[in-house]
Amino acid sequence: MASIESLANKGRNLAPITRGAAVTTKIGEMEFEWRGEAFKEQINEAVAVGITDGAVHVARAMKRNIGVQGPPTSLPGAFPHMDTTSLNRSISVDVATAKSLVAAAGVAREARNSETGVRVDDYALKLEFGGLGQQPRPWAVRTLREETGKLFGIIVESAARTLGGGLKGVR
Amino acid sequence: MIPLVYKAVESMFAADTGAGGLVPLLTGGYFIQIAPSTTTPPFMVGSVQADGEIDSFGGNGSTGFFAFNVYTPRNSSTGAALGLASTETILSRLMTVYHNKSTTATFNGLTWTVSFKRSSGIGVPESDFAWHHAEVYQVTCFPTTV
Repeated sequence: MASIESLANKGRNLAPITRGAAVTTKIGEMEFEWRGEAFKEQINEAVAVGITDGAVHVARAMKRNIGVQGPPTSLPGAFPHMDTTSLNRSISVDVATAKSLVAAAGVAREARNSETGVRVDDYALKLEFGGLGQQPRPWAVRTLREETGKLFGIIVESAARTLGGGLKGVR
Repeated sequence: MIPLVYKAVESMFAADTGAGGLVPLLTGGYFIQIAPSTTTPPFMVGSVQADGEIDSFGGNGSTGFFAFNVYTPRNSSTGAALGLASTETILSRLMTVYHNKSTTATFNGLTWTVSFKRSSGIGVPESDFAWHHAEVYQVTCFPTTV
C-alpha cells in the first residue's frame, strides 16, 4: 500500500500516445494516425489514476474522521478517538493500475501498534464491528458511505483531466 | 432510520423459527450492539454500520449497511471445527432470510419497505472463546406510504 502523501498530485498528464502500431489514413493534405490499442491502454491508465484519486479521497476522510485525540474514548457508535495514533497513521491506499482497475483505502497490512506491537488491522476490525465485550465504533464503512456521493465525480474528473493531458500531444 | 432497521432485522429473525432457522441455530440469541458477557455461543449481534438519506421520496429514503456479527464456539479443538461448521450454516441461513429480501415495518407514523442485500463478509480476530464472523448487508428503506 502507498501513503496518501506519496500519491498527492501524482500521475497527471500522461505522455502523448506515440507508441504502438499505427493505422495511417491520408485525406488530401491531412494525415491521420490511429493507434487504437495504445489509446485503449491510455484510457485504462487514466481511469486507474481516477480510481486511485477516489481511494485517496476516502483515505483522507478516514484519517479526518478518526483524527480526534483521546482521552476520552469515543462513545459506542461514534468514530473512534485516537490513543496511540497507530490506526490513524496506518491509513493508506492500494493503487489501481491499468491492468487492475481496483484501488483500496484502509489499514496498511503490515502496520503494527507503536506501543504494543499488535497488528493494527486486528483492532481496526474490532472497532468497526465490535467484539466480545466491546461495542462497535464503525469508521471504515461509515466513511465510505458518507463519501460515496462525491466519489463518482472525483474519479471521472481526475480520469478526464489525466486523459486530456495525454491527448493534447497526439500526433 | 436506525431504529427502523433494527426493528426490521429483528422481526425477520424472530419469524425464522422452523427447522434450520436462525432462531433454533442461534441458541445463545440475537442482540443489538453487544451481547452480555455470560452469553454462550452460537449467538448473533447486529449493528448498523452506516446510515444516510438518499434523494428519493422527498429525501425520505435511506440506505446504509448492517452488520450481522456471528459468534460460534472455539474453545477446544473439536469445538473449533464444529464452530466453523456452525458459522457456515448460520451464514448460509442469513443469506436465505435476508439476501434480496424485504419486509415492512412502521416508523414515524409511516409504513416502510426495508430491503436487504449481502455486501461482504470478514473474519474478526477474537479470543479463543469464539469465532467471530461479520456479514455486512446493504439496507435500503423507502416509505411505502407517504
